[in-house]
Amino acid sequence: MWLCAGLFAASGFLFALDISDHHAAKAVRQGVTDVTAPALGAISTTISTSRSVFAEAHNYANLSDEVGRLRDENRMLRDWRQKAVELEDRAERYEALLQMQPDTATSMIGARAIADVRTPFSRSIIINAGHEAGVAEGHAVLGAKGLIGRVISAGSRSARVLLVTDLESRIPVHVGRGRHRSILAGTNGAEPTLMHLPPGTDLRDGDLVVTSGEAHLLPPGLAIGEVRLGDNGSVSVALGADPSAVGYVRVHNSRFPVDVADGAPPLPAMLAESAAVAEAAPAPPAVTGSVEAEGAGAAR
Amino acid sequence: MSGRAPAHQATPGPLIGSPLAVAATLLMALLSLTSAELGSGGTVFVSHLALAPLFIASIAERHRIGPLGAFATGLVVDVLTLAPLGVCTAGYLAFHVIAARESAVMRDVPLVVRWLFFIPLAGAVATLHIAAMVLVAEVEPLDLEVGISIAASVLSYPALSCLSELFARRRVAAQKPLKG
Repeated sequence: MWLCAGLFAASGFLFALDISDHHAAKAVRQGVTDVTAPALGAISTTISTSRSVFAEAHNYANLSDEVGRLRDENRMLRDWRQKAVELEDRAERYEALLQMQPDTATSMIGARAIADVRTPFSRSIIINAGHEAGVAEGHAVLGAKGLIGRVISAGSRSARVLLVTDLESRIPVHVGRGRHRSILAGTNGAEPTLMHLPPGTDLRDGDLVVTSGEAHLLPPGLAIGEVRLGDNGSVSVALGADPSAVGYVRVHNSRFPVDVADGAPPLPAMLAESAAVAEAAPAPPAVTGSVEAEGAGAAR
Repeated sequence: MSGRAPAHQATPGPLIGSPLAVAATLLMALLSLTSAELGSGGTVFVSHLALAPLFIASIAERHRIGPLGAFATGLVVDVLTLAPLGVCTAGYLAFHVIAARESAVMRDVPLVVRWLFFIPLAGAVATLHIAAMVLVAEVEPLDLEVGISIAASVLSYPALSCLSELFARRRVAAQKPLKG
């Protein structure tokens, strides 16, 4: 009886710690996640293995169709690769002409999603890489075809990733060729929506949505998905990478450059200021492309 | 049931519990978080799948679970579902204490009666969890998802109970020739 009373008191104590946002509560959370990570990993491996066995059996039945499809896909990818090489070459020449400061080297940390925690309240995954692998809070997490979320807590061997579909996820983005500023907001559904679009913004189905890098939340330019216009005027985003079906992920581990214009005065005022500076000092223009920001997590 | 000794005096429970019971309950808690997706696109949320094995292990004669085991399971569910710490911990502990008090009675009644006893208890824990998330974490879940989550948690008990009884009978059957 005394033990039960003590445990109820411990529950209350934990609740009070969590409500007051005490760092000990965070340590308990990450400790439990780290302890359960191996078991979650084992369960996840078992489930994914059994799924892949069924998938393989299905694939063998359609082997010839699959070979044909892969040949077509390979041909298409070769074309795309050629285009990518050409574009990379052109971009390098333009950057040299503009004397752009090169981006800092980006490194990717590979990890496996060991738990897909989808409750009525949240959409998150747990990955099997933490501080020991270089993962830290705020890092962007990418699936095969784009951003799926960001790290919200990292332990020594595991980390929790808040998916872009989570109700509480808010990510500054650029939309379409006009690079319209907006906020990608999760809905707990499959497709997040775009909030705070400027009135009269011209959007089309298929317009690309990428991270803007504003608020130093995530590095700029990470692909997220495409615009999908609803019949009722709603604007949602079809994600490139399906967060509900990720097995392996890449954690974007970099100190990313931040556009000076982000968070600065609106464009006309900024241009006026630049002009004034140029008149006062006709020296070579200062670097306006990018500055180095401290780690992604620092700005959260 | 008349003439029976009060249930809470009949069998004092262990503190931590049988490793098998604790492992099975924790495993179900982890499974409920990894096996959410069924087929292609169909999703079932079972936040409290661990309540069924916890109930079975709370009223069992052998392989019982203790308050510490229930506390640990609740803590794992709190952490992995991003609920405020202490909510499921207290909920699972209270669930275990109530179930363990009635264990002697529950062991002898039919499955339907046990299930009828399980439903309000599991519903109360799920409601506590939802209320805490809405009030403290300020998260608004979709009604349908909450309904599915509670229904799946409640429906998991008969299936798991039948399974555990089947295993128990097979074990007894396997032991009989040795004793004879």
